[in-house]
Amino acid sequence: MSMARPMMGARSIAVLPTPEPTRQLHVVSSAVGRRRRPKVFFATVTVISIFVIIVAQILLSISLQSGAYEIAGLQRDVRELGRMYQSATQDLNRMTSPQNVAQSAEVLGMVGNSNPVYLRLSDSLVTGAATATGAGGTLVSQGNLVPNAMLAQALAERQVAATAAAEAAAQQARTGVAGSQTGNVGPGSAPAPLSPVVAVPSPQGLPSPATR
Amino acid sequence: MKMRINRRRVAMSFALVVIIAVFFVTRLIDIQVVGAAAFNKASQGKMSIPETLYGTRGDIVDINGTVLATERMTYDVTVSPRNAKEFSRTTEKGEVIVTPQMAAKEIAAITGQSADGIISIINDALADDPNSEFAYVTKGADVDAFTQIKALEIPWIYFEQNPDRAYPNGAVAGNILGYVGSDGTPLAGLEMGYEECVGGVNGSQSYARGADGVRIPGSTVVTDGAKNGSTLKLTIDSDLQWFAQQTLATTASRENAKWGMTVVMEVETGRLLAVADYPTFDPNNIDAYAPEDRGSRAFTSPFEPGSTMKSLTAASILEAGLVDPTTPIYSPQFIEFDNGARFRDHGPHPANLTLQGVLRWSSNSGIAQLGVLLDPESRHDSLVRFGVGEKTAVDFPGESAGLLRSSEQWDNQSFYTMFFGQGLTLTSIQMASAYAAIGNDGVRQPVSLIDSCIDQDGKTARPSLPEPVTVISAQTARTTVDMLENVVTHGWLTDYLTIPGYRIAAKTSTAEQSDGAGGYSDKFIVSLAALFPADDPKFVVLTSLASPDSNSSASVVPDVNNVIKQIIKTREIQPSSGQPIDYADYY
Repeated sequence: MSMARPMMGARSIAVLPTPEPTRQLHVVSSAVGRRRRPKVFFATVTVISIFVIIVAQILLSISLQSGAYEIAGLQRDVRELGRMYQSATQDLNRMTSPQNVAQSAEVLGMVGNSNPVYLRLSDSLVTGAATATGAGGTLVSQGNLVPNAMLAQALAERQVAATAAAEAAAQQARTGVAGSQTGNVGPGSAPAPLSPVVAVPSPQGLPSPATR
Repeated sequence: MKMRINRRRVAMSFALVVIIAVFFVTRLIDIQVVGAAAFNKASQGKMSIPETLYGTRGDIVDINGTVLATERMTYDVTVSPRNAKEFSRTTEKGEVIVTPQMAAKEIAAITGQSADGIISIINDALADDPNSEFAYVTKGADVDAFTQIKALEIPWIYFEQNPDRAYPNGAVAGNILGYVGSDGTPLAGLEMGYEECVGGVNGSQSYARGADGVRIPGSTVVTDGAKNGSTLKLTIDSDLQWFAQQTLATTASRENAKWGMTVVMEVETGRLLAVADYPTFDPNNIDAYAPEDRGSRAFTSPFEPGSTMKSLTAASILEAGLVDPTTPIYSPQFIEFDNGARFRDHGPHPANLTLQGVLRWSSNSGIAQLGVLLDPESRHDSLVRFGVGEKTAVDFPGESAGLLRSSEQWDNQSFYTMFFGQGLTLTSIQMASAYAAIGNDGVRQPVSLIDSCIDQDGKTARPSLPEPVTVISAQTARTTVDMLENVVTHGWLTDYLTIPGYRIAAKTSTAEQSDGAGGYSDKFIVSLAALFPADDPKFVVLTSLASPDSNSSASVVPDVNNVIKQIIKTREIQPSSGQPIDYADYY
């Protein structure tokens, strides 16, 4: 169709008395040019739009992808933290089990008074008969008779860790000795000085309330 | 000419469009109809990955919220034997070649197996099938072991995770908690009985995965939602429970007892604070225990209680107004009744006893002669009111109702022996509940072991309990408690059971037990039931021990004494006041 129009134009011009071939060509070309310009414009717009859409889609896809990776990463973190939480809870529950508390108290030399005895601070009256618990008289002196497989497992693990720590400490001590000989003190070989223990002054024995 | 050209163009364009359309339609039919099933199948396998949503089982906690049973994730460590070759690992010192032996040693150090053992697992699997892709290295590794093994980054080691039940306090209340199977099915105890509360329901979901293995966002479809179990809160105090178990186990092992139990019950509420069984059972380690030791005998094994029953008999005849504590009764060592029933007393004692004296000396002849003043029907009714012969409100799995025959079925011997606890059976829980009724002004509260069931949203559901039963009047109850306190203060118990500053009412029992062949064995079941503080009873402590070496109820007295002291200390029970009415033992 576009070829047909200049031909029709040429025919109508041919009717005029003074036709000029070069001018004729020029007009045609300018008319064609003028008519073609919008088409190139639309084509360009279309191509650019398509290009923009493709780029946008790629960017969206990339961001979605990286989002997916981030989600997967965070989910992995959640799992890891969940495991850490479980591990810590497990340890806490084992350590707070009465078997462990009783045995630890025994190891620390704590002995439960067998008789309930009360001291009334106001008049220093002792109610109940305080009797000393004899050797082997504590409840767990015969060992823990309420087994706990989970605690046994934890104790074994603790023992392994303690042995490893002792070995590490021995190793460090050796390094420390070697270090001091050369005048260098290794990190961790000098413990932080303990803050001095301040005794609570109690000049008249136990404090007792003045009100009656 | 112009028209012809146009028509040709239109025709060609149309033909082109038709050809393209036909091509697309053909392909569409090919994909959507002809090959649809195959494509669907292929996509299912490749893109839709099913996942189990685990509905976690609820915790079981004690009255203070201490976790007694909980859910944890354990890991089965598996190996691909045919791929178990050496591999290189990047360390600080550079690339290191790790042989299967070295890797096995590293795993063994974590799991506690031997390195050779792990290597032989691999070799055995390869011997069976040279292309073996799967074998278990170990099952049920905990989260710490899992993390450590995972950190080794051994390419041919894989993991499977399994939810598993853990009991952080081990055998504390293990006998009543029960246990679950490896597939999560509850098999015994409260785990089974309260499945409705603690049980979780697994669900399922599926998601799509890209070619790189990353989950495609938004592709998750939950086909079946999981439901987590609720928390079951018990009335048990786990510290007291442990103490009761520890002290019972100490006594029982010293006495070489076959089994035993200690029950601590709150008088005013009927709540069980401790139900200790011996042998104790640690549900973390089921296989280490004989099947009969995995449950709670306190609920499931009734026995002839013996003389602890005399308190119930005394309360019944006092309630009927037939006697008072000083009613005289000639109580010989041996007695034979008109119907042929005959029995003797356990030890020598004066014969000129009052009802108080009968209890203090635990005279069978005395209590039987006084007991028959009550007609059989009233006797039966009174026992039923005490809860004898019916299951407690706990309805523990496998709980026994004990044995109480109707009065027409009583044989000549048991017609009399029932007064002192032979010829009928009770569980320890039933007996504790009966004593609690005496301590609670004659009102028997329903026994409870479950405080509540708390769901995920914090909604609390309490079990529905039957109404309290008035067994005897408050006056009769008071008189009975006074008599039981005199049993302690008048007799040998006073040296062993007394706690300075506190009043305790108690009754011992040395009961004959069935030998399983229709007779009685030469071993006894010894018990002590105590109510304290006797001025206003708050707690029942009942301990029984089967076949102790000493064959004497003295063996359980220190046990009850220890538990009472522990309750006094932990619950800050104030010292008692007042004195019981001192009824005379003799006429």
